[in-house]
Amino acid sequence: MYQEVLERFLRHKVAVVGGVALSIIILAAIFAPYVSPHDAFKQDIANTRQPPDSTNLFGTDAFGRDVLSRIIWGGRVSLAIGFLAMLLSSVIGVTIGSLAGFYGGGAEWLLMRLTDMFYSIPALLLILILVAVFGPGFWMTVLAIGLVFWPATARVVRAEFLKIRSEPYVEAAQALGASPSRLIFLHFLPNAMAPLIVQMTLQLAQAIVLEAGLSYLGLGAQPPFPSWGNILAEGHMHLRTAPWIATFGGVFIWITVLSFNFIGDGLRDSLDPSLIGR
Amino acid sequence: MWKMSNSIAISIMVILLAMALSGCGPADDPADDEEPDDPRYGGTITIGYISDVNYLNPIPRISAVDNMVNAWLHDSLVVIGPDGDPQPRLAEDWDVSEDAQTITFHLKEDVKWHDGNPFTAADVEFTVYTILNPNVESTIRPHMASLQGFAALTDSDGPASPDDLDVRPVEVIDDHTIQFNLSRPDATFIPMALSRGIIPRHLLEDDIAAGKDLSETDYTLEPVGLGPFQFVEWSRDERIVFERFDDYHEGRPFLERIVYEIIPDRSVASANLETGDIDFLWEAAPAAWSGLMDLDQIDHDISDGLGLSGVFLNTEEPPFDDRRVRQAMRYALDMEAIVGEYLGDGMSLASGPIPPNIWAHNPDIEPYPYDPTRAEELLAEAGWTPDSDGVMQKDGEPLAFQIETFDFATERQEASIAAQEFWADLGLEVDTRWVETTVLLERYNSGDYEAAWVNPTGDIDPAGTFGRFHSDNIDSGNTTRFSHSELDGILDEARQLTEQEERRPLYWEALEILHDEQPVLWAGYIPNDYWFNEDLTGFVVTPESEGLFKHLHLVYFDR
Repeated sequence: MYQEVLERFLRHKVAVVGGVALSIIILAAIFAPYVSPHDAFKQDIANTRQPPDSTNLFGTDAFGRDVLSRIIWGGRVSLAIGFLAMLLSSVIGVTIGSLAGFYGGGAEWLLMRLTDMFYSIPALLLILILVAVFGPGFWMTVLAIGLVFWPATARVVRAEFLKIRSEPYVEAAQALGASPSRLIFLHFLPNAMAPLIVQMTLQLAQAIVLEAGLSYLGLGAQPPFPSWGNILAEGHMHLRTAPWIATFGGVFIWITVLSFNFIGDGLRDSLDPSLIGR
Repeated sequence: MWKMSNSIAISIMVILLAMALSGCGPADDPADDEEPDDPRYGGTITIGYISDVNYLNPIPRISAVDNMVNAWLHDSLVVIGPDGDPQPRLAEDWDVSEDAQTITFHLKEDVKWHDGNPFTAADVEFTVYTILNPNVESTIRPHMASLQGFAALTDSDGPASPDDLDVRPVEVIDDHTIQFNLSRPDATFIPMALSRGIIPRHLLEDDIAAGKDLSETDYTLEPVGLGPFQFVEWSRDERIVFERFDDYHEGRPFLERIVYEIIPDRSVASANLETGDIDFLWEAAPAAWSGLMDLDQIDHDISDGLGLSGVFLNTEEPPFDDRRVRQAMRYALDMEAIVGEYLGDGMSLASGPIPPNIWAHNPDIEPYPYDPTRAEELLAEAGWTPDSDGVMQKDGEPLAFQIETFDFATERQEASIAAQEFWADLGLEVDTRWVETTVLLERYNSGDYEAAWVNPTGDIDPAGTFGRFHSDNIDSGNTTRFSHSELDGILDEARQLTEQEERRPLYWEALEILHDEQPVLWAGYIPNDYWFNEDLTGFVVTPESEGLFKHLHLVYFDR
């Protein structure tokens, strides 16, 4: 089956392009100390806001730092925040969604109302409150985004579980006396995996955008550590005199988010159970 | 189907357009009963600024924005003119006695409050006693320290009543004459204590008598003043609207309305000025200056001001209680590059708290040069040694601190980040933090900070600016909590003198001490910058940055 999924994914051209672009960006971020052409932190006040040239391919920022190197390092922070926030959202969302979808009844009612409650708080407001109380920073950003995203995951998982609950193989397993944990981990979750993976991919992209938004407001990763969001934020003050700072920062957010969305699309098509085996 | 809905949409638009045209026609005609043909009358000026006002009341005066907005609503006995000297406003004129301790003000007659009540000397007396009242929050109080009985009247453990005093600080001679009795000559009293707004006795007397602070009164929501513009409405953090007061005592103001728009992001404010959404911008972000200067439809006025940008250090706590550390921090900065690169084209490098356009400025003092070697020597003298990572430490403690500035002040954030790097080269561990305005101001004023990049405005008389380094004022304006007995002595001596020629040598000496001590790492003198719609004319520019707003009744649209 995995073979088949992979084949179908590889036939999805746009998704492959996204995957390649994303792999390059992720690898560059992981190996930032080795691949960045210049020191991303060293300021040079005599060399600020220089337009792109052969030394600084993407120009320099307001502190004379190489924009390309900062984007490579910024990828570490942005991708890490996106990945960890998605992970946190998935852990909470899958737990709550599974319990609600599996047990139903009063437990489901309670858990889903809790989900609705979180869902109805405007995301930005919840994040602003959290950051205002606990102060901005890397982990705060992860926590805030994770807390905002989990209700969507919980709903997807619950909906899948409701579908699976009435499948004949589940009824058969139940009749054979399988324990709830065996049912959840062996039968429900693997069959809910396809939409969940798509959901996770899309959330990762959304988390990167949200991190950029928060950094833009000064609430995300704190300087001098670069993230794509704060490269964009620092660049917006110099849009007139040094447009390359914000432009390149924005382009990388755009490429990354687009890649994740393409991959999400590709995965949705290739994982669709109704297509498997055809 | 599509065609039909399209034609419906067009007819709706036509109807709406017709309604809008007919509706706004009469409203746009100014009610010109006095000057029907004078084209200068009329028009709405929209003024953009980053923050909301704290109080629509001239007494608390928390920040520059309070001075600006209250200048339209309220009026004062004197205002500072373009030359920096006080001019009569609510006063006809004044007499000063031979010993310079009795000042008699003759007030204009037929001056009305916005509610139609007459303005009299009793309002002035009431305003002075309100400022002296220790239950009332006011930053003007220190400027009144030379009034008779000041200590007794302002005693927070049971203030005296004026009736108990041998000599009252203010005496109402008649409805339009009032006398101020000083305990010592004080050259700063008229420009600094009497250039602040007068509040109406008939509306506030009962509240103040009941022991309320001004912020607790209904008055702050429905303020009534003597100024050229009267209050219409206030939507918190959004806008404040004023309309002209036809009975203004200096003549009917030209502008029909003032809309004060709060625009928290300064780059958005610059863009709004460019598109014409606002007509006037004060203190544009330095990064926006060159762009604004290129625009034909925007005029600007940039002139010497009183403001000063610098890193204020809390000298009460280690490590900044050591002068050598403060000096080292200043030597470590290439301030010329920082000022030129981040703080704006119009700013000149500062050597101390008094800018060159003020008579007490000492031109012989040079700003510290960029000298990292000297910085290292000073730290070594003070007992700091680098560890294996190059971080300076003493008794096992690293030389670490946090520099803060306001969340809106992008140029100071950038300057702080640049300074952070210079200090890191010296072996200092520096964190940066951007804080919401009121939160940082509160901590900064109460000494709950390490280092802060702030832009305080100097006072029109240097005595006020110097007072911020007097140990008597550690909880009232001396934000670096600086204490230096020799400096205190010099400032006390200068305070007794009224002639500039006598005061100048003392202030030059004070500037030498401050230069050596560096309680503030002075960066630059801030010019006053105003950006406005090219049709606007008639602005009066004074050394006080917000002084321009005290003459807004003379401004009009020339088109």
